[in-house]
Amino acid sequence: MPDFCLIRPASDAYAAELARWCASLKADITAAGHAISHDLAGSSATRTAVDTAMPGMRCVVFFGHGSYTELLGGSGALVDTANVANARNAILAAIACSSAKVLGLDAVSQGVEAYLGFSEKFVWLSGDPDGQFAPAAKKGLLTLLSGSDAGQALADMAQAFDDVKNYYLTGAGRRTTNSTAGWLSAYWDSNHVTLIGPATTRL
Amino acid sequence: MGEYGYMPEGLRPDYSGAQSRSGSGSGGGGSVHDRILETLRYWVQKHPRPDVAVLNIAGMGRYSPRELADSVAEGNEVGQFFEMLIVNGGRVQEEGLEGVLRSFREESETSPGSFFSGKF
Repeated sequence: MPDFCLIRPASDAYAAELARWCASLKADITAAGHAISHDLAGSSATRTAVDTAMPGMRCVVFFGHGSYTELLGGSGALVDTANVANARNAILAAIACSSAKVLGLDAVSQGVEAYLGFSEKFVWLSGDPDGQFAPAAKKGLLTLLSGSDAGQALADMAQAFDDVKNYYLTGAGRRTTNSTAGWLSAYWDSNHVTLIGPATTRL
Repeated sequence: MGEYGYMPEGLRPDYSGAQSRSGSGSGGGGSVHDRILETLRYWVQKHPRPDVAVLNIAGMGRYSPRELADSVAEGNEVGQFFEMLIVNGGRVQEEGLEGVLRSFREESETSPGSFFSGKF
């Protein structure tokens, strides 16, 4: 069974929110018959731990801060060009800002099989008060866990954010508190979900 | 569409609106920037909790309505990003930017009820 490595540093309030979303995936991963070999959460998400954990994994999942070139913990980069090759042959999914644009391309050029993430900033309503953004952010991984390929995961994730947009724009969330910021954010996110690598990749 | 950089057609962003922030807008007085700012100030005025973070921007931080409006007024990085979200969102509606600004105004009139019904 493919092994998973979860990296969720929770280095501040909103990274902590993302870390909780990641934690909620654990049951889905095991229910699909996969093993979680490493769960680097909070202070255990160090550069050394990440370097050690990534080799041999089939899927590396990161929830936290990102930049074009780095996936970040509280004390700096946890994944960047210097160590991303440790995830060689893995699918790397990054629910973080911007990293697909540069690090994603770099990762695939260094042997990562596919990189699912965002090409620009990832935005959501604080606390996800209507329970819309977390399911959308997890949707791509859930599609992969269902046995579908990465291209379908990308399409499903983009559709999920589009559904969030519609929830706030024309659906039950219309004209509620922060509905406009909600649909603007979801629309932005749906436009920037990106897959680098072969669309036919599967777990 | 090659093997790498796969992204479905029709999902690419439109940044063009952000280039016209200081120009004249259609359908209202003032520049696009001024009209956005005026709407956001109204949003802040009506918001049930204008100083509580409502938007998480990974890589930038958490921002309240007041901070978002102030950032747009200052034109700093956060403000420019939020303004771009608004302009980009105009693609969703036939009315373009006017539709987005109307959405803020409509929400401003109804959102206090959401607060008292336990929305937060």
